[in-house]
Amino acid sequence: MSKFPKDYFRFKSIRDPLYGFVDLSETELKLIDTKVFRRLLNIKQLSHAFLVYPTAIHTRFEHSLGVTHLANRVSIQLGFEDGQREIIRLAGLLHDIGHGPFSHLFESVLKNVNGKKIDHDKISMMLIKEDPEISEILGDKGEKIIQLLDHRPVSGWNKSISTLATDVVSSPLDVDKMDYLRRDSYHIGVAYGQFDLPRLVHTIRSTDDKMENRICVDSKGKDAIENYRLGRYLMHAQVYKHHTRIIGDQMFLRALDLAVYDENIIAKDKLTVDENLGKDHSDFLKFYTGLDDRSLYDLIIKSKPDGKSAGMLKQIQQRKLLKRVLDFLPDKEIGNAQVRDRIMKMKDEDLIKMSNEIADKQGLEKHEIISYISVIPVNLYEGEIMIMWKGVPRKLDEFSPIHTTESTISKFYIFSRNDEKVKKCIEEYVEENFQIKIES
Amino acid sequence: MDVYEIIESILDANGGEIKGRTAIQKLVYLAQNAIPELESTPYKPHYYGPFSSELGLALEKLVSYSFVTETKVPGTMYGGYNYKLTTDGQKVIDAIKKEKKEEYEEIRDLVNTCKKFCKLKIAPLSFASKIFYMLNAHKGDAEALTINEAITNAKELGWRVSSDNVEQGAKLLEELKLVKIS
Repeated sequence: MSKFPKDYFRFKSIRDPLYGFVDLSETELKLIDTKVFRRLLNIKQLSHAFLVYPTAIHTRFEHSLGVTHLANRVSIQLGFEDGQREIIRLAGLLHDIGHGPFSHLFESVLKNVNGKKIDHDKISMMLIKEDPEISEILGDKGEKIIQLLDHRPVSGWNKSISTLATDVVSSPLDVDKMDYLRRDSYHIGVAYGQFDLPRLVHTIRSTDDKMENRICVDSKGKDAIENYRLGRYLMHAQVYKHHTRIIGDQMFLRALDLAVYDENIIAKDKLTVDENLGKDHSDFLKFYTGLDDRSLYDLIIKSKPDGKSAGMLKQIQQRKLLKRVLDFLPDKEIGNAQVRDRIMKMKDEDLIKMSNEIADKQGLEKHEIISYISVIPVNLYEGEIMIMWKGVPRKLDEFSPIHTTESTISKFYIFSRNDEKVKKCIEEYVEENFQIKIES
Repeated sequence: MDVYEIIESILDANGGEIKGRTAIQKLVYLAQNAIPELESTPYKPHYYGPFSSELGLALEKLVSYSFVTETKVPGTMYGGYNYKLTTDGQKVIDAIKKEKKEEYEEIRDLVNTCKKFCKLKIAPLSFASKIFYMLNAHKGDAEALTINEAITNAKELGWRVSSDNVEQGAKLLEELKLVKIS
């Protein structure tokens, strides 16, 4: 078993409000000083949530440091040797470097341009491989980190170690979620995302039978998991899906669509990317890494100060947001099965089409009506959280005293300007098309 | 056919209900790979084999929109959940059956094959999915995997696949015409 020098992972310590100090190795310190990593200081963790919670201005930078810290704690708990722990920590540190402006929102722009989902984690992998500064610092560790982030077996590792390490970085019980729930709560000033982290980390273990090595929690940690699960639900309900944050985000997306498709401020080919990691992405990455929350607003507003996209971004800056004109529960308030089915299957493009129809009727600009369906999954984790019960890994659902049906909470919103005539038109449209009586 | 319709078709093909969300996950996975006309969803390797969060969310939405009911199977601790089409769900699938007849029939045949083979029990469906996931991950590579290599790789992903399981999973894949075993 390889052993690193005693203070290898404590080359430098950085203050952190959640953990006191985050210790970093020399390699990690070099990485956070790269241009690509420092860019994360200008990418807010929660996009436009600051429109509701003024202190929601923390960034991907400190979250990445927090993930590194937790990756270390969980790696020690699971007994990884130092060389493996280093790769897991680095994967945690770099997992978000591929985020674009306003975090997940920019993925939506990339999806529209490329015609398919391009996740930020794919771009993180491209940067690990191709960014000259980062690849030079990482040397041959880069490939291992990419394999880990890509859910592939890591070269030179025992196979079951690879799967367990992948679960630490990306799984229903990964260190990413453990950090952001508590960090978001802390910065916003709400208590919803708090949970018993020490208990959770202390009870994490592997399924550990040589072949089937996945992350799970000892039965003693079951209640800490319930705590975590409830925290996730409350954070979604109170913060992540707050209607004011939604409209801020949606106005931003409309502004970007206008900037790309109508006003040619950002050329489509600059956002076109082949997700195949074997290709050269240098042109795309050069443009992409020049973008952050601030520079994107500046680019659009300065390019065409009187343009529609600039106008929308200025409205967001001045908090002159479109208002929630109407909302209803599509799964509960629609009696007709065919209509309910149609709404359930509505995609972004269907919602835009619907908004455009209403705008046309009212002689409004297309971006003055925004429709959105917010969905909160009650289970709030992808896949299975496993509990070790009498030596056998079992799904949490089989034990949970907090029975949650496999169900979502959906809300249909239509936003527009606060105008009685527009409001009436929207209500009529909804009553006619969705066969629902709107109570004004 | 979109993912909602695939789930509804699978339920309908089994008399309107299926026990276990894992069974639904694996049946949809196998159907999406066996029937090219069906819309696909991305999968990641989870404990019980390939898992799609998009598909998980679609199932949750079908429940909350009252097209499917979810009930906990009483009795044992590990009973799991039962999924059943509601009257409204039946109305929707009846319309789909007319509109997308061929796709529906292909799904129905796939469900029947799996039913005959393993009574839709989770373990054989998971084994077949795990092996196929590995084959699929290397599709288009210069050297495609043999079924034995796929089995080895499934183990590399941390999936428990014993030789009995392998035989069973591989046999099901062969019956579904997803692989040829020489």
